Parts: sequence; C-alpha cells; structure tokens
Amino acid sequence: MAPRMTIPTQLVLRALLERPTREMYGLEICQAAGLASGTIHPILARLERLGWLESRWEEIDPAKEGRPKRRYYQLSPDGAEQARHALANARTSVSRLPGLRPGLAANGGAT
Amino acid sequence: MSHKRRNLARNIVLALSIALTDTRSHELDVVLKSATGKAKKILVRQLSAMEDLAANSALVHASVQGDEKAWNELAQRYAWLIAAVIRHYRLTGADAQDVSQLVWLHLVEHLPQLREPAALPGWLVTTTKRECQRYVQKSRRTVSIDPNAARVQRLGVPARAAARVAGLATRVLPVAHRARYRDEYQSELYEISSAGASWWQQMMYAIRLLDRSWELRFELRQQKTRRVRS
Repeated sequence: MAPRMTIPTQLVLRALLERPTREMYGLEICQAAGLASGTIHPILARLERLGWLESRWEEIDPAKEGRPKRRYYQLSPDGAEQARHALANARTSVSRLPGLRPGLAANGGAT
Repeated sequence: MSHKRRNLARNIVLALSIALTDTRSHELDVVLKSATGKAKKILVRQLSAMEDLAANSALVHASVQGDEKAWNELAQRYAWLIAAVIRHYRLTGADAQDVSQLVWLHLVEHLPQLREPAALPGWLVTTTKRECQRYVQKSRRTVSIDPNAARVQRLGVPARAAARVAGLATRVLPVAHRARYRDEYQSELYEISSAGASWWQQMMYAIRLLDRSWELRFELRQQKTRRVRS
C-alpha cells in the first residue's frame, strides 16, 4: 500500500531516489528534498513502516570520532521500485509545481 | 514522565503549531481527528483557548504571528531588559548568553499562559532574576575548568535550550521509540551546530521537531498495532 503522496512525501522520495544506493542521514535528506530540518521524521517513519525505507545507526565510536552517531536511511530495493511507481502515479506531482522547491528551501534552517 | 510535563509539551505543540503556521496546521487537524474522548476534549479546549489568546492579545499575536522575524522583533524589544538584569548580577560573555537563552526558552514555554501582554516585562524581569540567581549558585558549586578549552568546544556544542526542546519533542512518543529519536535528534542538532547554526536556528530546528512530534507519534503507534496484528 502506498503512503499518502503529499508534496513533502514526494520531495523526500525524489531526494532518496536520486541516489538510491547511497545511505543518507536525516539532515542530508532534508537538504536534498529542500525541506526545513526537523520536519521529515514522520515521513521517514511512515516509509519505514511500509518497508520502503531501512535505517541503521552509523557504526562509529562516538568517543573516538568526537561526534554522535548518525542515523542512516536507505531505500530498500523493493521500496525504490514502489517509490518510482508511486511518484509516477501521484495526482499532484511535484514536477508540475514549478518553483516550489526553492521556496521551501529558503526556510531550510541549517545548511 | 509526569502528567504536568506532558501537558506542557502539548501546550507548546499547540501554541507553536498555531504560531508557526499562522493558521491551524494540517498536522493539528490530523491529531484532532484521530483523538477521541477525553483527549479530544482537552485538545479542543486548549485549541480554542489558544485561538482566543491569539485573537485577544495583540502583543502575543504580533510576536508569534508566524515567523522568525516576528520573534526577532520581540527579542529586540526586550533584549535590553534581560541584558540589564543579567548585568546587575555581573554575568558576562557565555554566562550571560546561557542565562538569556534560558529566559527565552521559558518564554516559549510560558506563552500559552500569557494572557496579559502588559505583564510581559515584569515577567521577564522576574524570570531573568531567578535564572541569574540559579546560575550564580550553580557556578559557585562547580570547579572552573580551563576556560580556553571550554570556548573551543562551543561551536560543536548544541545550544542547551534547543537540546532541551528537542528532548521534550521525544516525550510524546511511545516509550519504546524515545531513546532512538532522542539520540537521532541530538545527533542532528550536533551537525547543525557544527555547521555554525545560530542559537535561533537551532531553536527553530527543535521547535519544528516539537511541531511534528504528534504526527510522528501517530506513525509510530500505527507501526505497533500493525506488528501485533501480523
């Protein structure tokens, strides 16, 4: 079952599909999607619940690296397929709303 | 977690949902629809209280109308007042900054109860005094470490207030998920602050987390029921 294809959901999926094999952490996804930091966790949780997305903790020693572990997200092979399909079928496609992304990005918080 | 804290979190989420979006946010409507019984009653009551407040109080309305600019204006108007009280306690530099951050955090928390705009200056003075006294007492108790080391560390150290609000945003989540999101938020906050985000940017990040926390809770609860069923 596909999630509700809200505009932010579409932006997140498109960002993830740009490099489907690459793991990204939350802030990277926000930046790639042009969404404000701190707004995408519900979307990520929804995608994870559907099995489209997988996540794991970065395997580092925080004490040694001097920074906390990141939570990495990656589309599952099946999820990438379904995401492509869902984006293509979305009724209000992001691609039909020109100029939306820069507007949202302006509100983006940290860069 | 105490009942009082949960109420506080709910208050802030409601206040900020309205404040940040200027109208009822979509998420809030989702929460309202999914809430039943007593929870719904409380939500509706608080929401209408918030709306009354926004309509009646010109100052609060102006200050929370929806964006960073409005908040900055409020900050500019009263920053001198807070600074004057802090100076009285001879706190300077990073100490003064810490205290004023705490005062602004308290204001964010206090906003839903702020019914009389004229009382704001008095409230700020009282709160600043209290925080200064607490700060002075605390620093008397702690041994001072190499001040240079502390200063170098500061860039990667998230603002305490933002970390607190981010922590608050996990309190409404199902218990089993809290630790994960607490760690994830703190990690993101670290990245943001290392990238040089200002105190306010960090705070906005935390506020957005708070604003989305009910929606996230909704998602995570779905997950739970699904697992039980399968």
